[in-house]
This record gives sequence, structure tokens and C-alpha cells, in this order.
Amino acid sequence: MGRYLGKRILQIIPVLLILTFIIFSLVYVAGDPVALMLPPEAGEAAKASLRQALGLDKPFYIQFFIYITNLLRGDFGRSYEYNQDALSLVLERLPYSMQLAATALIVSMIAGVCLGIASARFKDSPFDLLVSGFSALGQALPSFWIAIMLILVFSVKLKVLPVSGAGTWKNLVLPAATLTILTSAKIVPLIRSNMIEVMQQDYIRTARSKGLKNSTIVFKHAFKNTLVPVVTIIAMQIPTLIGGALITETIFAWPGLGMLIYRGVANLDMTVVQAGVITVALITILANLISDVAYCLIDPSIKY
Amino acid sequence: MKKKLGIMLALTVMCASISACSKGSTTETTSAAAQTVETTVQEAKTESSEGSEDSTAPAKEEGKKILTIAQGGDISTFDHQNHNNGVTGTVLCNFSHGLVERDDNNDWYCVLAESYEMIDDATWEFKLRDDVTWHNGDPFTAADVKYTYERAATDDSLKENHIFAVIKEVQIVDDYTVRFITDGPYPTMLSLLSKNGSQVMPAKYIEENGLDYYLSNPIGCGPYKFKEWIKDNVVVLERYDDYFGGTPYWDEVRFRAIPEASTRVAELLAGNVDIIVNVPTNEWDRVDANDGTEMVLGGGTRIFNVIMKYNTSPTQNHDIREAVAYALDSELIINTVLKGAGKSCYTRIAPGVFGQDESLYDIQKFDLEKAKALIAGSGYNGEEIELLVPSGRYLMDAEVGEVVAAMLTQAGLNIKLNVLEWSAYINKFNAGEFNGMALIAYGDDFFDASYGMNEYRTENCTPISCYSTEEYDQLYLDALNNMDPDSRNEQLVKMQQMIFVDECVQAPFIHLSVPYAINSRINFQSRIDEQFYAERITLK
Repeated sequence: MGRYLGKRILQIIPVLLILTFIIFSLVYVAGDPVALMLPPEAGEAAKASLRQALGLDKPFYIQFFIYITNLLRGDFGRSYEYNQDALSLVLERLPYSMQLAATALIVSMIAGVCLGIASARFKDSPFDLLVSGFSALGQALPSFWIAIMLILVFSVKLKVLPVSGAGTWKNLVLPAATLTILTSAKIVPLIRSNMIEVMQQDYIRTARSKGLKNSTIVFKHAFKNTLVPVVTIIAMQIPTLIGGALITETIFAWPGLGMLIYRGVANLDMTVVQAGVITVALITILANLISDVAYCLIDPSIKY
Repeated sequence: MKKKLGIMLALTVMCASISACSKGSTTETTSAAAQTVETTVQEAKTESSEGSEDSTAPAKEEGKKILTIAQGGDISTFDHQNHNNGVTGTVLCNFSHGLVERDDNNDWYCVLAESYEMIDDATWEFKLRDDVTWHNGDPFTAADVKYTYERAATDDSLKENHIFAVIKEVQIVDDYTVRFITDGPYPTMLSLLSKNGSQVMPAKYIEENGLDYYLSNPIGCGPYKFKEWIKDNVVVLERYDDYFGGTPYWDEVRFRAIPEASTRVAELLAGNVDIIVNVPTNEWDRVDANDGTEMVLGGGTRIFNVIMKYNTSPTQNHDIREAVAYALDSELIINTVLKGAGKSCYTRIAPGVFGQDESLYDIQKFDLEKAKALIAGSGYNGEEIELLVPSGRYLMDAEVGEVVAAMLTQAGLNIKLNVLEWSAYINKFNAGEFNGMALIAYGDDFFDASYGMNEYRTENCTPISCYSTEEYDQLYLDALNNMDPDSRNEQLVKMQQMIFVDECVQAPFIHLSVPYAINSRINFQSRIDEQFYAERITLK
């Protein structure tokens, strides 16, 4: 296991290097950042002068070489937009993204597991149909619609929660609820179908024939065997929730990483995009690594 | 297995605590923000929004006069000369001052300057106030002026450098007198020193602590000092008690960044903000129908303009360009798509900008039959012409683009509409990577027609257009250096006649109004520069 983990950690280096090259190339071909820094009315001479001052007049390979050399020294460069260290901008937003992602994920897990198990237990009952309907709807509805409806009901009509912004737990409720609806809608059917499948296994039948209590069968014997796919989906959701909750962050004016990266892309602020994407990539790799370890713990038949 | 599940549980708790730690580590910086965002509700609205507030916050904030403005984006910096956007300017104009500024009627008045005098065509002398202090208590002196404008003029990595580069030197005569020396005669010195991005920076503070320190702990000399900035969330400025202009009106001014228009409207309807910007036309009725909120249509300088490739077929043909101008029914667009938020015009220079040709304003050139006749007689063979249109940048831009495309098609042109998000649009636009035409709305925060008319000079030829005539170039240079306002005005008017009437280089057609939605508890007068000076906004 230790050797496997060491190998996986070493693999991070080439992955990040390749990713850096891809992102750098994509942002480079996306256009000229100076075009967005100066107004359209500014003359060509002014644009050329600013391009030169920022080193953007140099050929692609020289710009990349300078960037990668600085990166190896831990210098992600300065944001064109904010004129501040790009990494510190990312690190400022990370707590907000983590806060939102952790809340949404924990609530989704609890709701997903409870509803999924109950739905499987009472298969084909009206409750099961209701839960299945909820998860189908949750997957079908666009996040912006859910967000706007939540704002209209809880902020504009009932006035019990703030519309947007960040800082207190009340600000967190609506964006986290939006993400929870979307995420739990994915977890519920997965738990339900796995649970139904597991409940038909021979060892469950054996447990029943031994006269064990139903709750013991469900929670002690069946549930832990449904966990492997759940861990997979949770590991996949972590980077999505941290770096990709753009629509939710935009609607609720939540100052997370997704919004920073989006703004970086819109302004062609390459250093910020790079720092943001590398951070999300690291989180993705880490989440996958933790899920691999979790597999071993859940299922002893999985070995590395 | 119990042990393993225990380890799993520990892992889960660890993950949760990581997020909790990160939450904890920012508690100090975000706790005040928490109040900021949460207690945006102003005293007049406390009761109605009570349910949405943290129970402890309103008590702390009771009695405070707080103005909250929600904009579509966040500021980018506190470096006055290194940004190029109105959102940043709106915040910074409350934080620091320029030597001269413009009032609500767009007339100049002295702020940090006590008086000014033109010594000769290339020298302006400013006497400075001696009672101004920076927010850290240091006195404001001529050294600050020299530092600010010489830096802006010489550091070509600054986004305002291209416009300040005309300043050759700032001489300190004494602690409270400075002289600006320009490369040559410069009639627009006051326009330069009063534009967005011309506020002074604290020389001593920056030299002692470094620019990075200033950027995180900025000081200015305006009525409101820095309290906190949570990026992409809120900038909070608080009253500066030693302000030279007397005690500022508001205790706090908060500028919130809310990118989504419907969220901004919801914040206004919930009573959490006082002013919101860029309100789409489909929300106007909702705002007006709500008790306690209203729409305000203000002036601005943006003018919708159909840019045509001057040197490339088929728009290199004068008749085609003129036909485009005749084909645009601007009144119809204003009355339908823009719900009255605009005026027809045929110049890119807006009212309030020096040198505007008034004869080209409040008229529309629309004549469909004439447009059809011109196209028929031009030899146009039906080749496809692209119309590049931005989306989400200007009021109803994509919708206006669609109607323009339909009008041009009706006139007989084969139009292919290409609507793009702003960053993709502006890169294509600047590189001239479009086949025929583009829709844009130029603004002007310099308030002098020489700024906009600069584009048509030979030295500013671009892949889009190269209108190059010796007569125009000479006329522009004459106006640029002409110190007599009357004859200078005539020169600028003549330039507009040459470009928009005689040559039809472009087809400007609608001067856009600026839609704000406000809480009815405030007195608010919009400004042509679209800035919000908190001191000029009061409670009713």
C-alpha cells in the first residue's frame, strides 16, 4: 500500500506538468489579454507598449519557458487583472469553495444515503416513487433555475435568508441547498439500485434465515457493500463542487474558486487560470487517492 | 471491519475538519465581512428584513447610515492608474481625489487644487489645498502629485499610461504648488486630470512601505477610507472623520459585486441594497411595480455603432456603407428592444463631450427605400457579410444585434449574425477577424471628442479600418494642439462631418441611456460618467 501511494504521489508531477502546458496553450490561443485590459478606443501603439511591458510580445515557447521556470520556484506570477500574486488570490478563495463544497457534500451524503436506503427498503411504494421522482427532477433541473427559485421563495417572499453574498452560515444555506439538491439527486438512485442488488445476495438471505433483525441486515451487512460506488461518486463530486460550481457561485455572488477561474478566463488572466486549475487538479488527485485508500478499507478483496 | 470503518470515519472527520480549519483560518478576515454582507440592510429597512439577518448584527449596526451599491463585478485594484474599468472607478472616486473633478452637470471644479492657471501652452500650474490629509494622517503635498502623474506617464505597464504619457514632467514649485509640463500645447489637461483613474496616490506611504503593501492596505484622501475588501464579494469603505470637506454623510459605503442581474434585482426587492446597475429591460416593470423601489434612466456616453471594414469588399464601397446608415431604424429599436432607453444619433460623440456635433444628435437617418436603392446601385452581388455582435456587455446588445441584422437583410444585404461573449468578441474585433461588420458601443470618460476621433488617423490604422487622408490627419493635429476652445470645437465638429456624413466610415445610431434601479429612500442623480459619488447621494 505504501509503495502504491508513493507511486501515485510521484505521478502527480508529470500530470501537473502536462496540465500546465495544456492550460498555458489554451489560454495563449484564446486571445490577447491586452485587448481586454485597454478600452477598444485605445490606439495600437498603446496596446503594443503594454504588451511589451508585460512580456506578452515574446514567442510562445519563451513565454512558457519563463512561466515554467518561475513555477518551479513556486512563483505562479502576478495577475494582470488584480496586479497581485496569483496563488494568493486562489488561496483567498479556497476556504469559501471548501466551505460550500463540504456543506453540500456532507448534507448530500446524509440525504442521499438515508433516502437511497429507505427507497430500496420500500421498493415500488409511493415513497419510493416520490424519491425516484425527486432524484430524476434534481438531475433534470438546471442549477440556475433551482437557485433563482430558492432566492424568490426564501429571500424575496419569506425574507428568512440573505439573497447573496458570503460570510455567515445564513449566506451559506441557499447556495449549499442548490448544490445539495443537484448532488444528492445523483447519489440517491445509486444507493437505491446498489442496495436493491445487495439485498438479493445469498449472504443477505442467510442472514435473514438466521433470524437477524432487519435493521442489522440493512446497516451491518448490506449497506457497507453498497459503499464502493458511493465513494467513487463522492470523489468525483469534490473537484466539481470546489472548482466547478460556477453557476451557483455566480447567482449567489459567492466568492469561490469557480468564479475566480471564470473571471480569469473571461479576462484572459493566464496566471490566475493556471494557479486555479492547478489547485483544482491537486484536489482532484488527492480526492482520487483518498477514495483508493477508502476502497481498500471498505472491501478487503481490493488490494494494490 | 469495525476497526476499518472506524478509520473511514476518522478520514471523513479529517476531511470535514480540513474544511472547518480553512473556515476557521479565515474567521478573522471574514467575520467582519459576514456582518458586512449580512447587515447590508439599512436602518430604514431594518424591520422589513429582520428575518434575514444574523441576530447579533443589526444591534451592532443600529443607527448607522449605510449606503450599499451593487455592481456587476468587483473592483480590480486600488491602484488608480492601473485599471481600466468603471466598476473600479466608482469605488475609488469615493476613496481618493483628483486635483479637479466634474460635478453632476459635468462641469469642472477644484478639489485638491485650490486654483489652476495656464502659464503657457505647455505648462499648467496648480495651487494645492494645504488642509488635505491622507487616511493615515500624513499631509497631502506636491510630492504626491509629482509621484502620481510622473509614474502614470512613464510606467508603460500601467493601464492608464497611454493616456497620461503626454505629461513630460511635474515640477514642484513649493509644497503646495505644482507645474505640469506637457510635450506641446495641450488643451485637454483638465479632461485628463478629472477622468476616471486620475486620483492621486500617497507617495510617502508607498515609498516607505512598497506598492504591494499599499495595494493590501490602501489609503486615500477622499471622504471614505478603506475598511475591507473581500474579493468578488464586497468592498467596504468607512467614514474618514478628518476629511477636509467636512464630516462625510454616510458611516459606511459598501460596494457589492453581484454578477447575475436577476440576483441584483432580488437584492433590491428584498431591501438589501440601495442602487443596482445594468438592469435588463425585462426587469424594469418588476422593479417599478414593487413598493419602495424604482427605475432611473440616466445619461452616459456609450453609442451603438456599426463598424464596417473600410478597406475590404463589400463594405469598402461607399454606397454600401451609406446604405447601412440609412437601413437602421434606430427609433424602432429604442421603442421596442430598449424600452425607450436611448436617443437616435449619427455621431459617436455623445452630449456632454466637448466638440460634439449637435446637428447629428436626436435625428435618425433611416430611409429604407434609399438604402435599398443604394445597395441596388452599388454592384453588390449578394456575398455574405458577417455582423459580429457582443453578448452581455452593453444593454440588450445581442437583441439589438439581431434586429440590426434583420434591418440590414431587409435592405438587401446578405447578413450572417455572429453573437459572441465579450472576451471572444473583443479579441476577434481587435484582430479584425470578422468579415464585414461589427456592433460596438464606444464610451468616452475623457469627455473630449479628440479621444474618440483619434481612431480615424492614419497612425491608428487597424486591420478593421484605415481611413487615411492628409486633410483629416492635419485637422486632428490642429485640434489636438489648439488652445482656442471655439475654433477647436469647430474642428472637432468638422471631423465628425467628414467621418460620419461624408465618408460614412461607421454608422453610429443609438446613444444609450443607463438603467439604474434604486431604493426609493435615497435621493440619487445619475451622472454622465456613470460614477457614484456617495457624498452626492442622500437619504430622503
